[in-house]
Amino acid sequence: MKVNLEPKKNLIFNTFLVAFILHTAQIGVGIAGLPRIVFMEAGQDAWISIIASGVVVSIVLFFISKLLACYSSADLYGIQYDIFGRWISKLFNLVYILYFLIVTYVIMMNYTEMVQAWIFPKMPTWLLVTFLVFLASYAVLGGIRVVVGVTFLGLIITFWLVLVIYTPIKHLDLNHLQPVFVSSWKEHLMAIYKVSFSVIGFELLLIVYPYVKEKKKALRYALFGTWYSTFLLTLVTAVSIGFFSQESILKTIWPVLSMFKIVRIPNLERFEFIAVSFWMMVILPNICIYFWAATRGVKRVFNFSQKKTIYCFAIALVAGSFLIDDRLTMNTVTDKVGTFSFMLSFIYPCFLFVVVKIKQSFTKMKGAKG
Amino acid sequence: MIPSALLVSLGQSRSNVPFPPVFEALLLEFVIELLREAGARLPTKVGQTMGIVGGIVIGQAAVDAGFTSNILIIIIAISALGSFTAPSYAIGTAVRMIRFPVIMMAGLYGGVGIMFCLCFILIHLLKVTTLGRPYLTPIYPFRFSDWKYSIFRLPYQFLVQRPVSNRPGDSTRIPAKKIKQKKDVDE
Repeated sequence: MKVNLEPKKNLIFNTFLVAFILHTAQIGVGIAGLPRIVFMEAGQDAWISIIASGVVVSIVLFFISKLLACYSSADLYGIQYDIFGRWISKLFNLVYILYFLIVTYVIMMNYTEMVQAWIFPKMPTWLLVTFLVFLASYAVLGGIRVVVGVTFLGLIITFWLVLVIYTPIKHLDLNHLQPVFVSSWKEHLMAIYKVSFSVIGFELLLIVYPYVKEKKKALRYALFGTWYSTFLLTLVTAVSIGFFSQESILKTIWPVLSMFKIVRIPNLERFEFIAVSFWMMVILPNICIYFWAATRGVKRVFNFSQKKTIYCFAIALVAGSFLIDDRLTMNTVTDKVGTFSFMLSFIYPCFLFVVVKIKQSFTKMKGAKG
Repeated sequence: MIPSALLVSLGQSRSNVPFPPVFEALLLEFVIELLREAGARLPTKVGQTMGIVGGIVIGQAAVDAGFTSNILIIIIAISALGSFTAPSYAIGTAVRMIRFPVIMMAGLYGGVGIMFCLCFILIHLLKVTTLGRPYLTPIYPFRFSDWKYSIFRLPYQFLVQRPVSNRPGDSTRIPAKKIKQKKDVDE
């Protein structure tokens, strides 16, 4: 396996699209339920914890970009191969591949749960998962360009959903947000930890990096994308804390969708039905890019045909949808994956950066002596 | 989902229709396709008359007979008109064909089905290439300088460079000496 990738010229995309990839990878099903989860930890100061989590993400992104700058155009799989050698790296890469696949699975299952709770209570889980898997594999079969296109157009088409939040803002009660700065450090740290599963997606910079045109500017656009999503998450959290009373926000599982309930258009009274179905467009880039990352990993690590991998993984995902059929199991699985994601996307890249730096200084010393 | 005031008129219109809405929509679509094909084969002068007679008479009779509701006829007619607004006739035909699976999915799975079809079409448009170039080209891959050729059509004298996305061998379209020079009033 080569450490550095030299993708064909027609596969390389513009640098500003990094912002779109990271933003759409971060915003997904998580944002719909996020306000409640953070509120449980940090109370009315939840929005501060989300801004803090944005700072944490920026720090991790900084380390990631420094790590990637050590190589000319390597991705995570290549770097691990360079550091850990042939066999151990295979194990580590396999962990990442499985992680990307499982995140795809969790996103799909959570969306299915949302649809079953709001629109079709009797729609079978496997059917909706099959729809989503079909879309994702169709996009990934087109390669990185199509996947990036889905993130770009997916964001532009769903942008108007942000403007809908104007209606809840009109009914905002600022007293719910006061007093400010009452939560302790510990609560904030706990809240940041809970947010972490909703803001993952930035680690995909490690995978798409070889395809970026101007690699030096990648960090700038990556930060742009993550701060836009941090802004959205903060806005949504602050508005839903102000909109709901303390008791009701703890009982509302999807506060964002419940806020959409009061939006009224002359020919449409229950806006959240539209919102829930439109959410498919929000999560489509999400599942596409994660699915791509997983299949790309198999191609890189085991040199197995990516097309066949896509078919195998698609079948695996549909088969996996039969495993979980109640909300409680889904919640525990999501929590477990959340813990995993915290380690794999926040802590591990920083650790890898230190290892790479040590190794490079070591080889430099050797070179200087020899 | 629908406000009660609107629901009353919808219900009134649909009250004596025996079919489910999907079947109704497919039936009307089929009739419109038939009219269009018949109109295309007939000589021009008769064709127009056929269209009007067919459209108005069949539409009115279908409502009277309790086959379809008035509202659905309005919707189908508007969407049929919409398919003609595509600047190229071939695209209009493609849209017409896509409509049937979308109607079926909407009938089976509601909003989720419609969104599934929209996502599918979006991905498909991203994958399609014409003459080796991406189909959605000035939008994705994003080339703002090419927007003057497609989305806004600028006056001829501004179109000095050829579109970047076509990767032309010679990128200038109007040679430098042919560009209009700025002149003062009486020179």
